[in-house]
Amino acid sequence: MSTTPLSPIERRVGALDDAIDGVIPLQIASPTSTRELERTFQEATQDRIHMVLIGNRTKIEWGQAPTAFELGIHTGKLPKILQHEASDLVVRVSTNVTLGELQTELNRKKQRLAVDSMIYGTTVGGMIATGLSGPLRYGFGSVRDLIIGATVVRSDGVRATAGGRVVKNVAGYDLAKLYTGSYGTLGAITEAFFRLHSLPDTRRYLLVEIGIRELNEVSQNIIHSQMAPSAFEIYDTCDGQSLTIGILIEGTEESVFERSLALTGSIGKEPQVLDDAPPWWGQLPGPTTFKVTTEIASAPSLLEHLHEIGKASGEVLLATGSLGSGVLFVGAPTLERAREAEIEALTLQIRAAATLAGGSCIVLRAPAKVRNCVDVWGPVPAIGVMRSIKSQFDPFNLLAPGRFVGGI
Amino acid sequence: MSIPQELLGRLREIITEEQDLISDPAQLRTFECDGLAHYRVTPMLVVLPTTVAQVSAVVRVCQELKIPFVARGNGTGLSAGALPVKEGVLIALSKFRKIHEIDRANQRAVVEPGVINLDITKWATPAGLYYAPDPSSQQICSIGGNVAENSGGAHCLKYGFTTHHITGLEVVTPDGEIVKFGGYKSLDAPGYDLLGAFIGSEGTIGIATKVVTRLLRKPELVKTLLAGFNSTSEAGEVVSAIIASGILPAAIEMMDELAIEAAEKTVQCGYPEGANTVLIVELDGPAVDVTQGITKVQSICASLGAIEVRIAKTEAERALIWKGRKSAFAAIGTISPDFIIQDGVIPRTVLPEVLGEIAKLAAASGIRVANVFHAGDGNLHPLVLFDESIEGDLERANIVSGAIIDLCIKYGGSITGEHGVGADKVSYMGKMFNEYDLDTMQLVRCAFDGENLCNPGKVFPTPRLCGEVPGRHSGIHPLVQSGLAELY
Repeated sequence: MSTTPLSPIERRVGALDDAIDGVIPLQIASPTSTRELERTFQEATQDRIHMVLIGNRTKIEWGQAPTAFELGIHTGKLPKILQHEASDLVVRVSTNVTLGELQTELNRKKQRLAVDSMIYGTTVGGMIATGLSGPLRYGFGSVRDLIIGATVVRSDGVRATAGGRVVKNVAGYDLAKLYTGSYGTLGAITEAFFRLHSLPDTRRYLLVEIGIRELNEVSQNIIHSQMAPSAFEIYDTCDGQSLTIGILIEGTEESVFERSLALTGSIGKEPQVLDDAPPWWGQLPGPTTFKVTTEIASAPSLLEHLHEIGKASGEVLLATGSLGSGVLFVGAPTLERAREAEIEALTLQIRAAATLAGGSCIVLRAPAKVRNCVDVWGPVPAIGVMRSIKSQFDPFNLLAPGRFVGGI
Repeated sequence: MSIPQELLGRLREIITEEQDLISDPAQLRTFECDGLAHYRVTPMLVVLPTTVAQVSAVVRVCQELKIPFVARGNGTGLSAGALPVKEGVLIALSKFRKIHEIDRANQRAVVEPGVINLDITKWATPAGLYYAPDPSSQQICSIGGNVAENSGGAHCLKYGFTTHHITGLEVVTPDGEIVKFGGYKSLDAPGYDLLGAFIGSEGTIGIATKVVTRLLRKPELVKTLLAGFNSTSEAGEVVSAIIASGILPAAIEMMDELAIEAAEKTVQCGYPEGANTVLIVELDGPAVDVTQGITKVQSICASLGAIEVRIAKTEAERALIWKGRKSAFAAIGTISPDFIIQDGVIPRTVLPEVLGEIAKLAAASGIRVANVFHAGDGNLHPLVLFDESIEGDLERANIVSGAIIDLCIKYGGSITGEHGVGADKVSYMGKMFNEYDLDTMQLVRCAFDGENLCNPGKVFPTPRLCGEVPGRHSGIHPLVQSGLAELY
């Protein structure tokens, strides 16, 4: 640990509550300004101290466990910034603001950041770092599509900005996208600019139970419909008993009414119509959650595969997610109780099914036992390029080491 | 320019068709510039590979012999992004013209980089689909160039840019390795968002050899409205009011008096008589939304001083409205012998102030400026008019053009909204970003191209030495210098 003189940055000894995957850091730093954050990074890098950024800890154990963790850096005491430029439909926000706080502020002026709050209490930083997106990505894209600028403090304490506050901007590299979903391995994202959308007057959810054999046709009808739904979701208990599709339609009252009618025609069955989201909407089934991507048209066959995998392994599986985007979340509620070999086998089977469907599979979150016996990320294309990027940004491999793909 | 014999010999082994390796000076000159024709450099050699293996092999030879190389699509770029290097090899992708598949069920196309933007839509139309980004040059520009520049277009207000519509790329890295970026036909490949980093990197970190694009469902209804105003500031207010009303048009375009005059002279588009400014507002989507929305836009225009509002009733009327806008750049030639097309961005809300300042700049310098722009997203295309035969006119025009970009930076905007930095705007990068911002971007460049051989001289004013360890700059660290940090 550091032998440098104590700095005025608030620090304390790590405690049990600070542990990540059972490892308690030697120290916790709580910088109160970006400059202090820069100094914290700079000093830690000089002393080759391994560090992890900590927001609200809602996703702190996602990814692989860090291979070394000596310093936890809390972002909670950094100043909070929230500048809503309503007329320009953009917001500047510090990443320690929670997504809930941000949306409350934006909603006051009838606007929103068009992402779903998948995990209660998540900070904007956590959302960017994991790139987590929910049902609205079908209509509006994911976090990486909505972020237009980002400021990052690098491992060496240098602060740098990319992008800007205007939506249309091609000056320089689009690093905000590179940082999105990088799990804190490239630097600390301290603030971001996002593109916003107007809040709709009305929302309506159409829910229909269908059989797996009908799914392909119904799914194609919906994605080729001209009614522009905001979300197209699935809820599948993977036991052949219950498969529900959910469509979110947003707009003016008249628009929602007419489009709902047209979409009902595309489904070919009378749906249940709700003003509020069903309880499973935008929820991650868990505690072990696989994120499984697929070509859109292969989603029905992927789900059939999952049914077979569940049946053969005896594991309960539950699939939710965006059928329209081909991004599913598969929950395995009891997997933790299985033997290591069974956990590994199930992961490999789901991964093989995803590959067959033209997609990929990662273990998004899981109890430590599960994550410790599988390769959370699976095979990664262009891993050599990614390692090269990591070594440029963090040459001593000090930021969340080992947490990300391929041991990055 | 004498060509190193080893290079020529090695390239001949790769590019076996004689006509696909060009070393004849007269032929080389046809590749000396892109759409920004006042930048001209004749390359040492041009190759026209036909396979990805050839691209990879050419790049490997260049790396080995430390020869710079530049990729080129259809050469329509407006920032000299494909400007050749004198001692370098130009890799023209014009033979990569295959559309591999139009996949209706997955709403995707897989194409080669030399495919023309509009051709994707032409091929996708029978499936009821289209490719959304629509740069003005879409009839001639290549999708590979669009990827390099992250091209936009009139409709990106609603639909976003190239980066929002690409789900996979096959790339030859500056080391000659062939890699795939992105999930290809699925989203969210594990790992860093290499697609995000690559798209818009202006050919400086590799060469795309295959592109997987999203295709969107054609909208149920499209409505186009034309409104004339007495001033640009009135039209600017209308733009803000439309956005504030919660409507997200597919496009909002604005043209000022000079631009209207030029368009009328050239294509007789029949814009409202006496209008100082026109707005083109296009809505698309479900019929119910478009019908409601266009009525709302119409009443906003009327209540904020429009002298005439017209909604196209037929496809021919719609086409005529767009013809005026799309021909504007070329039409400027009828009112001025020479002109510079500028590309800057400002926050939409400061449109009236910035236009006022541009008018002052024009008046003070005696240089006329015509304004054509994507008003919905604050992307200005001022056309700075001059006559090269008049002594000093070009210099004055350059000063005005530069001052406009300074205004964009001053108001918190960007030096380029869609044309890219290329060779043209490298000197402005240091005004928009500080040295640490640029240094950080160059970390990515170094990760791909440690030798700075891949399209050198573009985007960055000075190349970074890639051997440097981040943060260990020569001299005193800026944080130390400013008294904000100590080194122990």
